[in-house]
Amino acid sequence: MREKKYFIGITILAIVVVLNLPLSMSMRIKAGSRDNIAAPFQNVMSLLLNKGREVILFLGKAREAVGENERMLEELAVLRERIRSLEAIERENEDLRDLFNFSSRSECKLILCKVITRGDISGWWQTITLNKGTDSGIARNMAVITTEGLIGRTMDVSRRTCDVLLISDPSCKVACRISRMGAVGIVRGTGISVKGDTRLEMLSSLGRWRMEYISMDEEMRIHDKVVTSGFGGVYPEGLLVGYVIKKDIDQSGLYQSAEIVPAAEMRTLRYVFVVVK
Amino acid sequence: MMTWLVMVLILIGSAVMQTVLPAFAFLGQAKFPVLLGVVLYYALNWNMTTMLIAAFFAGFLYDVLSPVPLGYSALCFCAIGWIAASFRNLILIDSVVTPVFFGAVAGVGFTLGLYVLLAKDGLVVYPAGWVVLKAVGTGILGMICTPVIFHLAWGFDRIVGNVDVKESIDGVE
Repeated sequence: MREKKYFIGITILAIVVVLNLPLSMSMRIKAGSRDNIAAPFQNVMSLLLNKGREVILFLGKAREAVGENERMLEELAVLRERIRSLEAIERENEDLRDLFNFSSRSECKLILCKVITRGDISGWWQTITLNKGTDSGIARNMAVITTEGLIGRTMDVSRRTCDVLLISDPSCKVACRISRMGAVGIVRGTGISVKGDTRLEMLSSLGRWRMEYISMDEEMRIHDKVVTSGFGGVYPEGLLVGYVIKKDIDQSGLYQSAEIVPAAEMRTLRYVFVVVK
Repeated sequence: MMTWLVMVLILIGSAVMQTVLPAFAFLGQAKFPVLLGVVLYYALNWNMTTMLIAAFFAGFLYDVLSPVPLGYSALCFCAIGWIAASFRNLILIDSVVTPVFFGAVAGVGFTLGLYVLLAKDGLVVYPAGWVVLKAVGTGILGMICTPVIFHLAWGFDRIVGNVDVKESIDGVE
């Protein structure tokens, strides 16, 4: 209790002394205290505040940068998509130019058609549907080709569309000859290969074609070119069908057979020509 | 009136769906028998007249969208619809097993029936094994898609008020 009173007295005395100090001394003490006691804390505090501000500013900028990055990524994606689109247009342009050149070189009248669907609703036939029909001069049983070779013949024709039976269908038979020596035979499809590369896409699982009833006297060679013979009246003479890749003897032993690889790329049919006789 | 309108919409939608859905090469080029599912829906849920009209138009659409001669598919659809409808009083229509079973059996039956008609005219040339594979494939796909078609068609009919919904509380309707 005595100590407490003693400290209170000391404190009051100190206050009285400080209050009564001369002005110059008071200023000196204030300056000295500010420099030696407050300044270090102020510096630390200032440093911390500055760092904090910098961090906050950095975070703000980082958020902006993230937004900017997202925006630029979007822009990049749009530009890439545009490039892809332009590349597709360029490819289509080249394809159409090739088709136009092919059409103008050809001796037959050709009608350029676009493939609008692949396969029929039943799955019994291998067909494609084209975007032109009787209005464009297409009739039943006309040969259908690409720039690479024969692909089939027209079946059902309506005013604005027509179905094409592909050679790969077993019910489609084409009278052909081997270009090198004129041996004739019948080419037909072997249907869908159950073990095809793609199990869902009809045209990706096509089996190889077979040429049958070739005379035993003829000597076939691998890579011989097979073209239409013109017999039968449906297909004009000389249309490229494919190439011999394997030869064997028919089961009856009376004829030769050959495995044919199609000249036309059947998987990517987009534009085809109908041959008008 | 709404019944016929709904039927037309379902048939057209199903025909488009069946056309665009891919065929399965490893199932003998089988496609989802969507139209057949619609015929079964009408066979098992509606009266004989409605079913026959649905089957006829389903067959008509099927033939128009394929090289099948007109009338072949209608005949098959009507026959299958007739047979399915004759079992209507013997089955639990609310059970999911019903469309699965009928979808499978009808898929096989329709494929074989149509093949007989087409082969008779020499329109398709396939070995027997391939035809069996296709028939089984159509059956499998029928098992998958028929319950979905039943559900969708029933929902459509219910929305437009063609069918009454039975509500039950604690099993009491």
